[in-house]
Amino acid sequence: MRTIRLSIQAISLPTTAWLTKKPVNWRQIILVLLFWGFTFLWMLPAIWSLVTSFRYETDIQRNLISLVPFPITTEHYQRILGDGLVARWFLNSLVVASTRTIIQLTLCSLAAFAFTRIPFKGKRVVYVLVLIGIMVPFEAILIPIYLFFADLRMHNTYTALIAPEVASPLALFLLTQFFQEIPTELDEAAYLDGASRLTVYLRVILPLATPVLTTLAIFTFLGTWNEYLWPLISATDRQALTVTIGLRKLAETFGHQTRDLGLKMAGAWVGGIPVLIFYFIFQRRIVSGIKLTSGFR
Amino acid sequence: MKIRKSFTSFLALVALAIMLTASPIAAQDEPTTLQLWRFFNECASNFEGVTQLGDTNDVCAVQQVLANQWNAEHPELQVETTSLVWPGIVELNAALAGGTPPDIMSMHAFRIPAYASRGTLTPLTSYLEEAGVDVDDLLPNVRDAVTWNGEIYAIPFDVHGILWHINLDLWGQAGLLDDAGNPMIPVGLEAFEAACQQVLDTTGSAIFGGGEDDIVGTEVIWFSIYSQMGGSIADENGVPSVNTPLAIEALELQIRLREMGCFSSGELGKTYEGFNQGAVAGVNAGTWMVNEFDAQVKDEDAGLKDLYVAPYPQIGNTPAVWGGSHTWVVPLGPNADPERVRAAVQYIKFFYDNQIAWTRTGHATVRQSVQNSPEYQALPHRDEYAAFANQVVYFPKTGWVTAIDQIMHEETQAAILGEKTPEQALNDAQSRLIDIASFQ
Repeated sequence: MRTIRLSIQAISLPTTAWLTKKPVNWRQIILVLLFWGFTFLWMLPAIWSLVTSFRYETDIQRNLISLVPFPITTEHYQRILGDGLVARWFLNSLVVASTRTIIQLTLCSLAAFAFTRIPFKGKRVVYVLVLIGIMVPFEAILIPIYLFFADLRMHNTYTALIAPEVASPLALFLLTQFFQEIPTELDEAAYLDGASRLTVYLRVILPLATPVLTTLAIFTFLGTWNEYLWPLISATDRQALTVTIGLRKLAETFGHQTRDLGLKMAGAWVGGIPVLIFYFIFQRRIVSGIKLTSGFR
Repeated sequence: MKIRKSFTSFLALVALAIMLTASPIAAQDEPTTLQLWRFFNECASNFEGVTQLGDTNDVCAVQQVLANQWNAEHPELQVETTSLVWPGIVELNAALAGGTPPDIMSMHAFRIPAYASRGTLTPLTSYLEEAGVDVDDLLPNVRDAVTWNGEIYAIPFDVHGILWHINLDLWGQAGLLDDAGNPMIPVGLEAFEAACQQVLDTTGSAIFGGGEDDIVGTEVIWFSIYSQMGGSIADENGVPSVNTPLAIEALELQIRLREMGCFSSGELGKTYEGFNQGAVAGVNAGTWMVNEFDAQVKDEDAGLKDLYVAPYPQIGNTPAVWGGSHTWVVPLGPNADPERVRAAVQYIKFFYDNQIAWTRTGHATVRQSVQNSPEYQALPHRDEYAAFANQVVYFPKTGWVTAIDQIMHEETQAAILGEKTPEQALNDAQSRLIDIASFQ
């Protein structure tokens, strides 16, 4: 907040200085200029990629680093958006990311409720076994999972894209930690009023866990949207591609890295814009989620 | 009670959603449909129903339009194409592990021994003979590259590799054009050094621009010079031999020519940028760049006005250059259903018969008859680099060569940038390759 106040003061300084004859606060002006400078530097790669996506390829290859988009062309976007399957790939990504998010939150919150609220034999052992899953990278179990879905003849289906990571040990761990912080007195009060376990879970625990659930939902959705390796091997049929893989195939180039830059950059923007919109909508939640998951206050 | 009911309904809905999503996203294949997996982009939707090539030279377009042509002419045997992320090996390995490989797959020739030795490829010699595929028309070095243990495992559809792209204006300034306006290509180290010095003195530019951030500017040069000197990266037993005295001499020569300014340094993309601006006299670039540089010449804003494409410079005793082939293989294993293989070979033959279409992409033909055809010669610059395909040296037929590009790039780069001596770098490369070979 302090940053914003300083900026407003600095911007309005020339007018107010003239009216009130206050001395110019050079320190604040320099500070604001520095902020702008660093923001520009930070944004430079994004600005360059946006400009490049609107330049002719022959022009790009004569002048790789340019922030001038003239002569301008939309040919790269036409090639990408003109492909009849791009909309389908966006839909696939949306279905996969949304469904996985919903199922993962449902499964993991139910499991976390059981671990924190229901006494049963061997709970600690089971919990530790589940948490060991955090240490096993997905790449290590990729082939067994691939074979499992191949045996079921389920590759190129939504289920194959959604199912492998719905039971997330990390999500379970975070939810368990959060549920433990919720006082059990609240459950007891509900039980006294005749509530069942399910009612306590749905009416007491879940509403109180909204911050962590929202955070998990955002990160699961974004993680699934950007997922690469599993959709690459599971969904090979062009109708079944997710947007990440589809755009990669559409804008892929061969030879050396700077070839077909316009197409690559246009592909990056087309694929990235939904994520950017998502980020702007949930900006506050994402930031508070990072604090929540990192322990940073 | 009400909550329990609604929760049960929710679970039922989730179960229903799972059942619904378990149905294939795409329609199931017909039994007579051949699955063809290929790299080189996705463009099927853009070319849906298009059966005429027109004037396209795009790698994806050519493959897709030819498949469309086949499908239009053969309703009884359809080919369904699936695009892969280059080079498609991750997808292929997964499919082989899952027992669901495609019928036809594009594969680099140097990978054939690694897959054939594991019994994942179908030997094609008898099927090709039965289908009337004229394998005798293949260039001898290309035919040898797709043959393993006496069996042909693939039909190649190009020879790709590195060429010498020349800016004729700058060569003219250096006095290196003959009366007909063609470049006087130096042959041998002495002549190359002299031409390099002449170009440097008059234009200030490298005669053979490149960059150390890409294998084209590191391993490719070393491999080509080593081969031109008579060296081989494998000994007679198939064991890596990349640290022989000759290999070290080749790397030392590469570093010396770079220090002289004959090979430019830095980023490859920046060197090509300079070439397009008309500021670099010559570049080390692949067959895949021929059309791209040619497009610059046709653009009036480009500094590159007059382009000539020569085979790789001969610095050693014999002409030789790093290169390879894109091929069609049948990854159904040695005991595949013969009818399925016959069907796959029919499409491969169709592609082979339409070789000229693929050579539009800049890659050289694999067929002797096409090499000499007026149609091929009429393609831009093909007559200038006609000798290239015969000069390509393929990797030896061993499994460990699948790792060589990456390892040799890292090690030769380290030597070029002074992080290791040439001897250290090649000893490290040898040791790493021996490790890989021990797993084959």
